[in-house]
Amino acid sequence: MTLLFRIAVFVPCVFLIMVVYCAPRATTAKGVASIAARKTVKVCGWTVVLVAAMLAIEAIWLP
Amino acid sequence: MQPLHALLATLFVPGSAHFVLGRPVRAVVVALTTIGLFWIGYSIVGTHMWYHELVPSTGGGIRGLLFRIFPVMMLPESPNLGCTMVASMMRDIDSVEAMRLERMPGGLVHLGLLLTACSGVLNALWMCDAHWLAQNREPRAKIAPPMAALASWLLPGSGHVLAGQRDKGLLLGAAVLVMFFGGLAISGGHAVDRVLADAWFDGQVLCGTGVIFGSLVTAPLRYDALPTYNDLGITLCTVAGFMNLLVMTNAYTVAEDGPDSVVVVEEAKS
Repeated sequence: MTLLFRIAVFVPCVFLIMVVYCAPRATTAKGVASIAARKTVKVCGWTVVLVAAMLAIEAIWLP
Repeated sequence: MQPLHALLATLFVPGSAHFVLGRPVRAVVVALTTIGLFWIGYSIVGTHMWYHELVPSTGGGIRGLLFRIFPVMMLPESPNLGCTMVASMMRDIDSVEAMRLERMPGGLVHLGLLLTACSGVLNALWMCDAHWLAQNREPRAKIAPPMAALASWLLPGSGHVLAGQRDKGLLLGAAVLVMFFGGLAISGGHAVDRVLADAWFDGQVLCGTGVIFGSLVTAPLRYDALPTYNDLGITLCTVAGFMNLLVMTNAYTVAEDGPDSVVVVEEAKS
């Protein structure tokens, strides 16, 4: 599974999950989509940080 | 009738609480969609249904006895506890022949397992309905909360549309269905298959449209080898099922508090 394929699946999936997760916080589709987009960026950012941290740990302690 | 009593009565005898609460027609509908579906499904699959229990209930001891009386390990059928209990009591658990039969799938197995599963999910929703009716409350939307949740199970997002949040309902429905059918497409149509992936099916069944389509249309299709991304497809369909559980819960809340109620929450947070 290539990195591009993983990203192509992961990011839209996170957005769709965030749409449902953020649904109670707004009454309109526009409001929900706006909150979900912000949450998606946040989650994807944290995912990059976690993956980078795991790769760093692997490089340092698991030669 | 107390709401809790209505809930418990429906758990054991579907339709009984609705009848006592003065809704005889709805009681008949409840009985048909729970007891009726369960026994049609059970007459198709028979004891093979027990092959899909989450925890093996065979063997003696107190644990075996409790599981035999209260088959709560039989998801998603167990919310229809009365029917599942009767079927469990009729089960021949001790003989080798019976165990062999449980392992043997027959014809129309996907249809039979779908019907028994749907009876459990529907009874959970009818339990909510009985609880709501016993409270004697008026919904602030055009539709009663349990009906909004039921509509969302049948077609994700429709509960919001009926409760007055049209565009939000369409967005939520699209999100769930894109996730579900995306997973189904990635797996070549074999993500929803209770025979091969029964534990995952318990999550997938929370998305009514998807699981009915998957069980009836794609699951019976023949294939020589599992698709490359079958695991990914199964996961996406299961996540879509749990997403729809959130949608159903939110549809219930929107119908209960009114279509504008969450604006206050949003304004308070911002």
